Amino acid sequence: MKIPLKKKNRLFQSAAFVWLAGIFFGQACSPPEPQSAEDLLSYRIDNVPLPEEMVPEISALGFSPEGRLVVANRIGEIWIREPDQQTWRRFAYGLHEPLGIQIVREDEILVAHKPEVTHLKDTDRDGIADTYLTMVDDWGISDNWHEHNFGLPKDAQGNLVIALGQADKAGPMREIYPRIPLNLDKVLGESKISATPWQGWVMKISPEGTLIPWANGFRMAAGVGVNPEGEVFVTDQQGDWIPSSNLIHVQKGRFYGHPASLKWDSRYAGGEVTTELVEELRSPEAVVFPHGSMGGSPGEPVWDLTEGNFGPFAGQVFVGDFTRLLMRVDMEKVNGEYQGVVFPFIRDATGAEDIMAFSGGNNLTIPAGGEGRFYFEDVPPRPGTRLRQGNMHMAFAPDGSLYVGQTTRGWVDAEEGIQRVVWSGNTPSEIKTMRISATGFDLTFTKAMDQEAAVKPENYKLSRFRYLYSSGYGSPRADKADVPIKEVILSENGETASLVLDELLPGFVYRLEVDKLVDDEGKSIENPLAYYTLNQTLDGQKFEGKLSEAMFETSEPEERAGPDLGNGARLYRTFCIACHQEDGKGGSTEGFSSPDLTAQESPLRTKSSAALLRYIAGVEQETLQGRTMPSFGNFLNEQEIEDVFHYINSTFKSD
Amino acid sequence: MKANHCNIILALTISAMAIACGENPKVAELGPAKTTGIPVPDVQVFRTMMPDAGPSAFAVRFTEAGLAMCYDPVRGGVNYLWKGDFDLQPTVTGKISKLAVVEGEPFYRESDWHPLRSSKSLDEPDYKFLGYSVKEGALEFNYAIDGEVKVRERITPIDGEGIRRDFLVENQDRTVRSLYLHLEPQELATVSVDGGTVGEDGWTLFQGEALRDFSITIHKKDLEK
Repeated sequence: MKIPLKKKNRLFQSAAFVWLAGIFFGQACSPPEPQSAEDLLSYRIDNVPLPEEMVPEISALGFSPEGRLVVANRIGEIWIREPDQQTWRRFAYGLHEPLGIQIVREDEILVAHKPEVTHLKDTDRDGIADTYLTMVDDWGISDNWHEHNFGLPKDAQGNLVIALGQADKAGPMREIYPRIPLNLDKVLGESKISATPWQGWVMKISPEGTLIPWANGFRMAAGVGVNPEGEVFVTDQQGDWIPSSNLIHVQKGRFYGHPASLKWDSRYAGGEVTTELVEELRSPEAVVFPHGSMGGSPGEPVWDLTEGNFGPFAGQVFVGDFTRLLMRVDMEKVNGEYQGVVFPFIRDATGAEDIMAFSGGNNLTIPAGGEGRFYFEDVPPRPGTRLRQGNMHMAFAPDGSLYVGQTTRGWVDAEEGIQRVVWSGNTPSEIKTMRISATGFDLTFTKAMDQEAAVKPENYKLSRFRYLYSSGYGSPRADKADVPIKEVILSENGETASLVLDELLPGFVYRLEVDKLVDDEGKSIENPLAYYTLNQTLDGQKFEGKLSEAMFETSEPEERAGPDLGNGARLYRTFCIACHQEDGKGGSTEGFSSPDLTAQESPLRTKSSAALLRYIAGVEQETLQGRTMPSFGNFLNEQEIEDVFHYINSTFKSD
Repeated sequence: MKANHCNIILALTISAMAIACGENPKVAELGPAKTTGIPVPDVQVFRTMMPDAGPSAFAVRFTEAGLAMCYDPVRGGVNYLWKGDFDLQPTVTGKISKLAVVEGEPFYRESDWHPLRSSKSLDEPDYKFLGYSVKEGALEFNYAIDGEVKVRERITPIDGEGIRRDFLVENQDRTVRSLYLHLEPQELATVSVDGGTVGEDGWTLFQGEALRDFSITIHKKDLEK
């Protein structure tokens, strides 16, 4: 057992305690040893062993009242892990792509799958479900591949909640029986269509099994959750009419942006649906997950109700993403409506080869599309167990660890299964909350910040932008601008910083980066990035312009005077960092070995600039330790290669 | 009491030490995974996308009999029956999934509306699927016809050459006076009804005791004879 970094205020760090403990427990806590990078992590990742017989495409998971882990997979099975944490039993099979479970008891489970919500019962108590009762199926389905039924939390009144995804004309759709009404018409230029009722809706199911259409305008709400107060939230996916993925507080009768579902809304069915109408109807999301920066395809939101067993974020929301990313969300109510901030929580390297191989519009290894690639920033690989992709389903275990179910079928061949995130007991240095104030934003930190750095406005990089609401597939960032910080007021204990601004504009997403801040022990903030969705100010100001149009004219790009080091830095963080690491020194992490760019014998010193440019472009290749650098010439244009080369050269080349 | 206090202090101290050592003491270690074994029942039931069937139809495998069946919960009834098996892999492969593959030639087909109805009408009966069960190897589908008539239909293979469909009608309050069965002619199978009265028009009428339970037997014709 190794002793990690000590904290000043912890009783058990005292030498007396360790000495006393040593007397009682012998070698239980051995003398300090050199610590590995893995030991210093605030959160570690464990792979949860799964039986060979289980197809590990995890499509739902949860814990029974008895504390057993219950898991669904996409081929239609339900598995239960016994309390010994090793023995699994298959409880049910033959379901049609289950994507939500509600565990009544160990022998009674409700499942949301494609055609219905089914009540599974083990009536003869042999540990295997024998009865599959249809609880509700009052919606249409076709055989289209993109129709999914996500769920299945319970709201404050005991209603179950589901969200139906929309069909995709890219796949076949047979019209078979008139019992299922198919309407393939488009409402307003959308690419996903609501082919049958109630695709694109969030619905409630009463305890008696009555289906209650609740709200619409959803494209593919792949994550459904309920907060401790019983209010319903979903995540929706960037695409047509959804400018960026998001977290939505679902309220009865509201419309959240995707017009296809309006064809089943009696208020608008059959009438003319115009851009003006949907702009007027659209309710904003609580939190935008900026595409590329915050993944591209979010999953199920879960609330940390572990009362501190998962670290310092009790009450906050965690959301997985299809990329190697878990996010953390903090919301506040402003004039009765939720809005808030999203932070990265755990990110892991994707790696240049995967990015290059899978960056097409139809793949989610990194967020799809040019905007996704542009705003995506890769990270060096995490020490220890790596975070996988496909993090669409999550649940907190009774012991306070966070279980993450992964599935990637159809988009990328990757590792799937279940991982769990365990808090080490070390409090990370993080921005805990970012809340709006009358004059700007108040930040609270998990630890006291170093005062000298924390009071300097230049150590807080704040900018803002908007997304434009249209039928296009996602939106570029519009109305971008840096936001000057007039003053930073730090609380006496160093744990709160108030940013005083000249302007606070509703309808904008505010991006904050604080990579220069350190805590009072000199440690950097682990995830120094935040995006706050400002729907309204404390005095009730809301966005009043057109959602589909930029407010400010974009200035013409200045003529290129030479390499753009800022763009070079961005490209380095996207394509190079996973191998070469943040400091350019490379690393020995398996699969990511690369030369130390800062060393005397670095290629930056031993090769000519022209040769290095050809090397980056892949015109010349060299195998090092059995590994050849990917050919970036297939992916980056000449200017981008020039930018990234000059960034590398100016940053890492030793004198 | 003293012993309890000691235990509590011991537990707290161990927890505290684990935290000091950078580990969350409440999170148990994970061991290798094993299973209690996956039973291979004689009747295996999957909801999937089948050819010539409504969405999310049933693919049913009668392993020992070497028979397979497509049961349609939208139309209601046995869509087709064949000797052989099916392949579900296409339904769970790739982004845009495909239909299951039927491995064999169907010898029985239904394509009309559900064969049972509460009136002698060729109109579509109101069919509502209610679920299914597999208990002690017996497969049973539950549904309601025309709103009021709840039916339990048990399906069992016979001789590896066909199936028997036993119908049990819930009619305790005797609100249902009669039921009608309309079967489509079959070229490759013989179909017989046990119970009820067959009219000249081919419809079978169930009344009184016959209404409560009756059966249909479907048998593959031996065309070589």
